[in-house]
Amino acid sequence: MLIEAMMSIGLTGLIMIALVSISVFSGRSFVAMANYVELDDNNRIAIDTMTRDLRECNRVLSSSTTSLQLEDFDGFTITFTFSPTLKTLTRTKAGSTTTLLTGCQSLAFTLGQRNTIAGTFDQFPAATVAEAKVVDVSWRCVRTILGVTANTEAVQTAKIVIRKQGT
Amino acid sequence: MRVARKKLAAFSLVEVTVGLGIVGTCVAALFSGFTTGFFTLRMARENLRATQILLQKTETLRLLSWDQLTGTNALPTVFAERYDPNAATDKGITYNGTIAVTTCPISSSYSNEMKMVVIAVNWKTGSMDRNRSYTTYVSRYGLQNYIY
Repeated sequence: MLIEAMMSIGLTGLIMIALVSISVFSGRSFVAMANYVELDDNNRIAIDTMTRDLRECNRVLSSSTTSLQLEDFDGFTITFTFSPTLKTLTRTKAGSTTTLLTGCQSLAFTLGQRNTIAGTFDQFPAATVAEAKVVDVSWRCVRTILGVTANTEAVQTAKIVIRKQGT
Repeated sequence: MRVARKKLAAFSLVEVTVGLGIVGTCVAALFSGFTTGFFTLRMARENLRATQILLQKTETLRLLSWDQLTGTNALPTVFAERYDPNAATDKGITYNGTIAVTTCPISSSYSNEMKMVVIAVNWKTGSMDRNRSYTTYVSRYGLQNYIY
């Protein structure tokens, strides 16, 4: 009968909509969780690499909002470069370039002096690289799900003291 | 005639009810798994941020002189940090922290030349109270005087 056919088509449609919704939601959730894990992994590796390099370097050679150049303990130059167009953070030493971060939305380097502002944890800003004793770095990375930027950013902030810098 | 009718018969009410119950249980378990997974991830991310805050404060200790460390004005004893301090609007949860500079719990003759610093943060994940602490030692004349 027509009524029975319409009822069964309607019920099948409802069930299909429910199944598709559950599948899409499940897929997005799995991707979101994988994104979080990947972001955390990358962030840890990047911050560990930067912390090691900064702690053991001799001095800061140059600094801008998107790059930081260090003189490593062995005399080589280490360059950290943030590309706002490629959204990557790369580390270059002796002609070898490694990509530390991808999907990097923002990144900033700030140099500080040795002197701490009384009553705070902040340092006076360094006017020149020769005064740099502390490097403050912060970034935010995002991932997309089905081409749409998802709310899976991981924030990383760190203040690293250059051990050898005597100023 | 009876045989033909039996072949055309659909599922009984009991079968449909049991089937729906099984499907419902599976869907509930799936969503429960997602909720737990996201909560665990949130805890891990907030814990990671707490570790960052602790290390950041510890780094600052390296810039202080002995007088500054043992004085009263140079180092704040309490602080507050946000999960995402650079965000324009929603900065996330607040971490409340303390720093305590105390005598070093060792019995050596040079114990007065050392201090123990305990940095602690506490925050809430949902309604759950969470805390982390980091303990380090600071020596007045550097470690080399005691090692070499």
